[in-house]
Amino acid sequence: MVMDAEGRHAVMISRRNEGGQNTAVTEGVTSFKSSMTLHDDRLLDVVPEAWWTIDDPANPGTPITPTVTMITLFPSLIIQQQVNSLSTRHIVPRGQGEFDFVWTHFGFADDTPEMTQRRLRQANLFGPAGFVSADDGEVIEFSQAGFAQAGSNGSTLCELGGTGTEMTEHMVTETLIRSMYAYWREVMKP
Amino acid sequence: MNESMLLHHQLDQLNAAYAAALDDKHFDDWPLFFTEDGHYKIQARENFDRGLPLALMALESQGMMEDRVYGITQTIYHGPYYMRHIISPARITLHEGDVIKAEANYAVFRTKPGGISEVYNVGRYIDTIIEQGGMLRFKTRLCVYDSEMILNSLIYPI
Repeated sequence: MVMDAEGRHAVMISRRNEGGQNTAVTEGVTSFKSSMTLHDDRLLDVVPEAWWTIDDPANPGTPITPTVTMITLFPSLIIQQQVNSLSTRHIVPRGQGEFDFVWTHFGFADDTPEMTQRRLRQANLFGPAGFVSADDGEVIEFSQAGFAQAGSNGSTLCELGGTGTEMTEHMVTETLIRSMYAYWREVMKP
Repeated sequence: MNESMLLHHQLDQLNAAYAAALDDKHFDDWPLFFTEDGHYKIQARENFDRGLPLALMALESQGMMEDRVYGITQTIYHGPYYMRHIISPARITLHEGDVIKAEANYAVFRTKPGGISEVYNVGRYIDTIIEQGGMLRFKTRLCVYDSEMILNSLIYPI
């Protein structure tokens, strides 16, 4: 997890399969199935691309080759590379308590037909029906229904990974959203 | 005439059985409606009409469908809901040898336990069907949906 100095923009950087080795943080995550295998593994026919290798933002001078990078740009845009799938998620507010979530998938103009097919196949992981992302929307809806019970003066707290806004070396934390809201609270001060 | 009536009847029975399997949450039965190399795709009308390839779900074998079923039942965290399919009579667009091409309109309602019923997804099935092992199976089933705004998420196949 890498944030800018204000905590408003961030990049989640990870490498495939790493979660499986960090048993301390994945313990208790019921949807984490370390032994799961696919019947048809074309869904995860990952081919590394040269542009994945970058200078480590947390450790300049050292190259890293992440398989997943998710750039969160304050206040409403996510640009993501998840293995060979490239997409943006855009939050468009519709008023209080409601927003549209717009997904846009893309590739490069000079992609081979095979790479385009691969990106389209891996698109099964994302979007409103995606293996990876469908529950993001579901969890937000659960959370909103939960907040609603407390009324407009209520507050709720989910302490995944504590209450701080520090950088971490794993993904099982909500430190980035806490940092984003810490910044949001500052700029919204009258 | 009799032959045509029989075939229409068989297609309507196939669609009825398909809907019942999904509406009754017999998800393990769902891939069996397809040939082993069957394709299943759910695509927005916007993309279909413009010839753009992106789909909401695009599965290219029974194995991929089994993987989807595993996701539905084991890994995708979601609020449970009931589905109710209403499918129009099938319209055969081509019947050549063993291959049947047919279309049918569908409306799928979603009801969360204790909640009101919502119009969840509306569109048409565009199918290629062949007979295999004494039953009709989908070689391809493309669901082109008019309702481009998904009600948050789409977990179960339609």
